[in-house]
Amino acid sequence: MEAKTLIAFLLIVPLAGCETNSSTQNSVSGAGVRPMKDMASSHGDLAARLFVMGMSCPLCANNINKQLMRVPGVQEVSVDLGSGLVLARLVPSNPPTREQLVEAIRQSGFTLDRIEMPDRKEANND
Amino acid sequence: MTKYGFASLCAGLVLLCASGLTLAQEPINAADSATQPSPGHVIFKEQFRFYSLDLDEGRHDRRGEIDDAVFFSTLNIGLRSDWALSLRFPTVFRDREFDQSGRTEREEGIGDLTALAKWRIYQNDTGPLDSARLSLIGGAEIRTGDSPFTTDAYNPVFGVAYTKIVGRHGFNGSLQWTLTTDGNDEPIYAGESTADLFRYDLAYLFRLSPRTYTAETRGALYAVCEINDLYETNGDNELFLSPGIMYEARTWTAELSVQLPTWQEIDHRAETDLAVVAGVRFSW
Repeated sequence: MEAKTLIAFLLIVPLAGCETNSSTQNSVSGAGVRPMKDMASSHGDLAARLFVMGMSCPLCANNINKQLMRVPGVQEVSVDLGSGLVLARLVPSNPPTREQLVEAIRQSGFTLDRIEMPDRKEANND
Repeated sequence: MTKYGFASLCAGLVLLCASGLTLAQEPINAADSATQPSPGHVIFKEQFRFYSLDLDEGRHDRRGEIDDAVFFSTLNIGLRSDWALSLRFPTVFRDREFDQSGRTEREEGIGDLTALAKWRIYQNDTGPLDSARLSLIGGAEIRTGDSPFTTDAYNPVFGVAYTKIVGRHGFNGSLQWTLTTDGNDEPIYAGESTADLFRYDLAYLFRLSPRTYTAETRGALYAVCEINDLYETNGDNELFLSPGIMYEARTWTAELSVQLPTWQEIDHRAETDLAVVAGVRFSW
């Protein structure tokens, strides 16, 4: 294989990745990430608010998202890198415990500053 | 197209199609950083490096110009919140032109596997973005490669990496020592002879865009400037200045860099004229 062919291929790969990003964002949303304002405005949502420190890059948001989505009872996750606020939308009938969410943040490699769990009554009403 | 070329091409295409998800603010050329994937999280990194080398040492009939196209394939696996494993091997396509005879030669093959464990021993997150981390690294280069791209040795590797992020600024420093137990008679690269290799890396990353992160942020563009030094205990030393650019999305990263030799004192292997680096990382 010609070295020039290889160089051309490797230069094309990242560019192709850039092109596909906008279209794949929707699928990522489907996996659990969507804009925070959309999520916060969803009627009847039961959400935990986690304030996380050390999320310095977009990939960090993905790390958090993946760990939280593994917790049973977490439906959807939204991350605001600027403020460190992570919104986790919970399954009203079977929400996770505070400890489960704390452990997920620990596993993702970041520091949890504080967590605001939804009111249990709110969960029951839903 | 060769079988290695075809395999690399297929791997690249498959990754493009299946790209779910990538490594955090990690320098492009440095040996390592103190960032790592979380447990159950896998990051695949494919980095293409084109080297233009000049061999003026060793046997006269082997001296000449060398052009290497190398694919470094790396798998980073998160084991625990503070432990990660990385497996890396190069696939090399080499064109040589010998000074004495004018003859050209083409070689290709797979180099040795490097397996490294990373243990984060210090972490201090002081704000939504700000963080300082320190990791210890240990592992080995394992003789799994094809001739002439193997050192035929099991070489222990030890290192330490420090990463600090403050707002839009990222700083990385790493030191890696390869304890060489055997080596090639005609080394091309640092670390291929019987001399031990020390790698010193310093990197600065500046987030060009966005200026401020929001909940809508999907990616970030960074300017990267690195200083990479390769020192061998036989006295060879090569220092590079490596500017680059990196785009990091939530599930993938693309990077581009050049390595410009700024100081060379080499008597046992080839000198680097230029290196061009392009890479992608995907996260699952």
